Amino acid sequence: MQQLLFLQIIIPLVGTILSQLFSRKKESQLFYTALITFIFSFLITIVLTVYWIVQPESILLYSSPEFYHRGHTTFSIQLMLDINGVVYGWVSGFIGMVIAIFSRFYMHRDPGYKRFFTSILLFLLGLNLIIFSGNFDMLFMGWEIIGITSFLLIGFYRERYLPVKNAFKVVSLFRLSDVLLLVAVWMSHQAFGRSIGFNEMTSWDSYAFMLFILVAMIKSAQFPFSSWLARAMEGPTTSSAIFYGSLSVHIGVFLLIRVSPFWSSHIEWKILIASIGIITTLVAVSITSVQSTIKTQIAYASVAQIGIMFVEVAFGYHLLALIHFAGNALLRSYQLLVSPSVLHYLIHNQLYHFQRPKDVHQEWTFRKLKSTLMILSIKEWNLDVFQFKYLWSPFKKFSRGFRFIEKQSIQYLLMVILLVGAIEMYISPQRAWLNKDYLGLALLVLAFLLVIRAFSERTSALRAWTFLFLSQFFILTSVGNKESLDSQEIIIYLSGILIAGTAGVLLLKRIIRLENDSDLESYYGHIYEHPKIGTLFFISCLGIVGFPLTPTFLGIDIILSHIDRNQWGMIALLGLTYLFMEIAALRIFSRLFLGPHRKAYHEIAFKSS
Amino acid sequence: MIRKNNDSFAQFNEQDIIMSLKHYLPTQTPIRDFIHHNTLHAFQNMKFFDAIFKASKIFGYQVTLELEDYRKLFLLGRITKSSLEKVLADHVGEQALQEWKYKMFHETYSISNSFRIGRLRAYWKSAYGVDLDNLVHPLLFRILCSYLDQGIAIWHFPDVDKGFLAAVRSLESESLSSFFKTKRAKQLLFSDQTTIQDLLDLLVGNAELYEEYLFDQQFSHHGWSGMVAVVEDQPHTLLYSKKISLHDLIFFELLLEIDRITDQLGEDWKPLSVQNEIPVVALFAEVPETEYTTIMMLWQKSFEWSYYDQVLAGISNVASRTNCPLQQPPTFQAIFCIDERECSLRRHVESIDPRSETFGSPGFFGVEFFFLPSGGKFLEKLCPAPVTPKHVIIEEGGQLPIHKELLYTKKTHTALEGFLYSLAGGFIAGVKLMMNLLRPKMTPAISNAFAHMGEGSRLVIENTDQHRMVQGLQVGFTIEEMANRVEATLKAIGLIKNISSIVYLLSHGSSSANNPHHGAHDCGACSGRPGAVNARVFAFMANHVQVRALLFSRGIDIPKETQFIGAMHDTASDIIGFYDEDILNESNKNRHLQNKEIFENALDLNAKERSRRFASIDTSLDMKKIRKAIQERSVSFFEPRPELGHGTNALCFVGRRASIKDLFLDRRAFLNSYYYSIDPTGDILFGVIKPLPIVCGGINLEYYFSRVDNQKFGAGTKLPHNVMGLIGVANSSDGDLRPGLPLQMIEVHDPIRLLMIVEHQPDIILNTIKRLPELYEWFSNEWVHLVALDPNTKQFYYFKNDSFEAYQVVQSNLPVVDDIHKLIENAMEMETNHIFHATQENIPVHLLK
Repeated sequence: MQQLLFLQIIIPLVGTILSQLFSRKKESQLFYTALITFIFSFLITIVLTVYWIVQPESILLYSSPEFYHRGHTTFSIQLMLDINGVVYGWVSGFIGMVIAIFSRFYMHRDPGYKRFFTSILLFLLGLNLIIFSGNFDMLFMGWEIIGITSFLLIGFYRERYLPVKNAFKVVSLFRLSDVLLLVAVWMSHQAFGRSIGFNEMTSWDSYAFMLFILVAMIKSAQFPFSSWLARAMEGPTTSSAIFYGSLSVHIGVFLLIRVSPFWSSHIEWKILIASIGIITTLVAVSITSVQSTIKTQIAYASVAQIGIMFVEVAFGYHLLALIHFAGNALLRSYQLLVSPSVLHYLIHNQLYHFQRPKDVHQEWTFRKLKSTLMILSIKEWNLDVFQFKYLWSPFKKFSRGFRFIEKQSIQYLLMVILLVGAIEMYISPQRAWLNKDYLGLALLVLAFLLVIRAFSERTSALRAWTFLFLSQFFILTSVGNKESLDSQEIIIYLSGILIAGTAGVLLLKRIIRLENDSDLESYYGHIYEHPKIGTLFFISCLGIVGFPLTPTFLGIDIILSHIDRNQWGMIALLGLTYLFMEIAALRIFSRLFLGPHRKAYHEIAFKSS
Repeated sequence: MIRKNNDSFAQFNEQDIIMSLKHYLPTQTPIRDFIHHNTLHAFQNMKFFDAIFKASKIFGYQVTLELEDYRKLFLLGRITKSSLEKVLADHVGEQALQEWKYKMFHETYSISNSFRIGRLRAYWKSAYGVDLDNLVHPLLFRILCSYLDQGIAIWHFPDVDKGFLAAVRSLESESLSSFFKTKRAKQLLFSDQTTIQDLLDLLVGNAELYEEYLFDQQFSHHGWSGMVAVVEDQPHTLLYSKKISLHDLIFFELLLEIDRITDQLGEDWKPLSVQNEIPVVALFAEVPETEYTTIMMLWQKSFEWSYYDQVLAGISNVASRTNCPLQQPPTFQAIFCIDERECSLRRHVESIDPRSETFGSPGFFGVEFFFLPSGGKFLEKLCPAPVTPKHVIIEEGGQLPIHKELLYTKKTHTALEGFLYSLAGGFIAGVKLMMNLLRPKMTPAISNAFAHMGEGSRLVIENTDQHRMVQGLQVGFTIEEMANRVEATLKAIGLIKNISSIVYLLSHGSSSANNPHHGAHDCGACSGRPGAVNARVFAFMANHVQVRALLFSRGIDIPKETQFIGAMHDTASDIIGFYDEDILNESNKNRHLQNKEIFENALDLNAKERSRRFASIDTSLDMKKIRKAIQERSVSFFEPRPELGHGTNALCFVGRRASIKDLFLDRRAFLNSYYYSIDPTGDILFGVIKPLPIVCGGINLEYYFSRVDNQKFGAGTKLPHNVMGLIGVANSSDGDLRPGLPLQMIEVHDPIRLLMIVEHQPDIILNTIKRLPELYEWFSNEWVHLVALDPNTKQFYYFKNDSFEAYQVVQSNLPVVDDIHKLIENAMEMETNHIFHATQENIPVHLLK
């Protein structure tokens, strides 16, 4: 029976692939592919639930044969079902199905009909990976997939400026949570000496689990990360309803429940997490109160409730949190789906019941407080600015100091260093010319510098891409110098990167030759004329950053397993490198292919839309 | 600060620039009233093609289809060779014909995307590295939306009756937090002396550039600026009135700009014209005609005439048939709105009962008034938008519509109540969602055309006391006033004899769910509202004994047993509701029952005809199943196309029904009944024709522009729309308001101008339209095409260069259809909504057998 868990991964995967077979005009085929996938997955959840209830264990486990085993690295699919999975599975199964049916005619004739259904199928895959994951590795895969589908769905209207800008903004934050999770998982591996299953979690006396909480906060839009949820309301209403109204935004709560054994024995941590929740609720309610647009109002209202869920989880009321999640998810997705009708509903109401709000005479202090809160809330407590100023801006400034990397001579030097590094990999530490530890660190620093330059590059898309490509080799040689990598490991790591990197170079050259836009100064929207090049380049981006389902993803896992527990600097640098690598790759993609098309022979949206 | 020099003081006239801005900004009112109008009304004093190409050069609009699209339409046969050659010959003469023809088909043109707007403000990015739009827009829109909000937010913006700037000042002065980041901007805000000119001195520096700068600034968010301008001039368009002015918006925006620039660059930055050499360019300077614009004009005209010629050929075909006029009074008569969506219903009614007679008249039936619903707090205008009524119709009694819907309450947004709601309400939400997917039905959250009036309510229509006033309006109409209106309406449509025992007044409205644009589907002649009240009011007037006595003395003899009955057709759900049926006498009651049956059957056919364009319905299904599916569509939350509104409208026929009765026009014609022989002077015609360009031409041009540039003129696709402050929609949380029509409404539309065909002698028509310059402008500047159909000779005359000239139909044989159902069932369904595919869904003109 547990084998059915495995189907929860396979079905959405098959559905996603199948949906690629139809042209976008085949709406019925696309819809039924999605519907059958959702129904099938939901049915299996139901069957599993029944089985879970009748059998005596509180947890169902599934473990696939190992795909990969070498040294201390193994890779297999570990799945699990417990009460959390049951509740999340039911709610997501139900909402997913409803959204699929709702979207059938809602999305009719949208040029992105196929993209939409592919994206929600991919979303289901990511979601199932998280909900039914048996350990952090599985969960991490789902986490990344959901991040990328968010990018696709927020930026669904890719011919306009704001969706692209906001999709990029949100995915940057999501990527941060991915990388934090990656580091947190690495630390748990190091601490427990293996990949621990969710069924065997224990208390963990290390501040490291704070990373998990940070990850959950970002994904569930807790203070100070709340504002991304409002920015995410760019796609079709149905995708906003499934993602930001309900499922995606509650995933942080799921993670919080999963890692609760780590901290639940410490009262101080409980208080901390509860405080995060309470602050979020207060801030979100104040922002909700001044929201004059319907979707953002629902978004912040949802965040406020999730804040309360954090409190519930903090104090161990997991079941209450689960029920709260289910209710809130259903309520908010319903409210979002019917949000356009609010116009008629409220206006019709006003025709009969309108009363002009009176300016009540209030105490001076109260007025002062209220005005302050009002302005703060309209500004969304400066949360957007805060993220930019303290998260991204420092890196941009930092990278400006390293412009010289772009010089030809420096690039030759880099190649020489890389070559030396590569040769050193095969020389034993005793006979090596250079200290391997320092060499490894230096190579990683260079990898990071390359990536961060690519991230702020403006003049040449090709150069930015080459830097990303190159940095992967630096990462490999860096780790290879610290630990011995065997050729199979190297092949796994490089296979995806080589293909994706080369493909990326070729595709970029092609688009530059065709359109003569080689810089990254503004958005060019070339996907309008070159959808195939655009799509392939997007896949190359996923390939070069080691998206799940690519061999590099496994490679990254292997690489991480080679880093020892004390090498904090290494892991931090590596994390930053992976963080900016994906952001930089998506930035190249966005600038060249998305946004308002540069050519004006057809209708083009205003920048303000 | 830059010292003011006297030169700049002389050149900068704030009031003039604000007036000019208002002229060019979109004039769409808050969205609950959706009134169609010419999107480029600001250019209406120019000839159509000069106007659109000028607007395109200045504002960067797309104003025609793409060149490649026209070429494809030719290959498809939608643009015919004969029409194309005729258009070419008219324009370039026979000699240059081949050369131009070659250009039309084969020349490539590089289309520059350099338009004038935005040039000046772009210097901030290029010369200072400051992206002002990103820094200013999100916050500015949020503040504006909070200020104008009609009832979404839970907290209200204070002091909204003092004006926008005053309110911001009072909020800022009381708050510890601020919208501004620098002291400099805040000081400017609170200084009494600061003027717009001062702020422009700081930002721009050269007064010659101020006008351009303000245009750049306001057109970087034309949606919000347009809304502010409209609310300033028509404050009653908001239920929760807010005082605001374009001046205040500009002032505040300039302040925010100064603030953000100072925040980015520090205190030391120089105005645009001081730091940069900026040439002065006149934004509205002449735009020369180019070969490319000529080519586009030729293509567009060919596209239009390929269709017009078909229609005219059809009419001449009908004219050659012999019609025997009805000898006895028809079984019943029904006056419909001129709306082109009623075109098919009328055809079906007439085909089911050939002895019935239908008329078309603007759907307010000539009775203009404000309506005060029972228990209502606001007056609603029920007549064409430009008219300002002096009367009010009060509704009394009746079952009040239910207003509450559980999960729409704002209590779900607070912390504690939200907690309880999400625990309990969430599961109800799940059930509701499922129910709406499986069995959609009407709820208070759905815009219901029939909820406009309470069920079984009474209307106060007759004025018995001239002094009875409500809000400065006379309650009801006196006998004389009633008679005048009934007389005018009946004479306009020629219904003055042979009146049957029941005359229906069929107004229309539209129900839809999840549709902020529902007002655009209602009756355009009733200011975008359902017309049921007007139908009831007119019926009451025409039934009034004293009114009839007066009418008799004016030559309209309404038989004693004749009764008028008001009704409304829901154009989305295809339901007709009748009002005041209890006044019918015994014999009319029986007739009415039979007539109802006829309407029912006609609605079946109408639903079937409409269903061919709906993906969710199989047109070959059983009639009753189609009817049910159509009804469900109108109350389905997941259906962004409950109906297609005025999509495909292209014609306006003013004349006798008999002249076009045998044509299948595929719901593309506004039909206004008019009987030339009782109007030898054109006096009646003047009243008939006067509102038509504004109503029909306005609808047509709004569809035209939203179709050719759905991104800039239109509202884009509906699917991501977010309701902003109950006054409009935007695409997301911080986007600009999107006026215009959404994609889902214009997909089926072929962008061609309205062809108005009037059945009368050309010289009389010419004299009539010349009586009013505003009316004449529509035709002489070619925003609407005008063709006269001489009733005696059956010859067509096309109005061109201020005179009528004879028009010879090019096409001779039109397809004949004997089974409309087959035609409908076999009609193409568009593959995509690109014009090349979309137009194939539109069925060419057919002759009915």
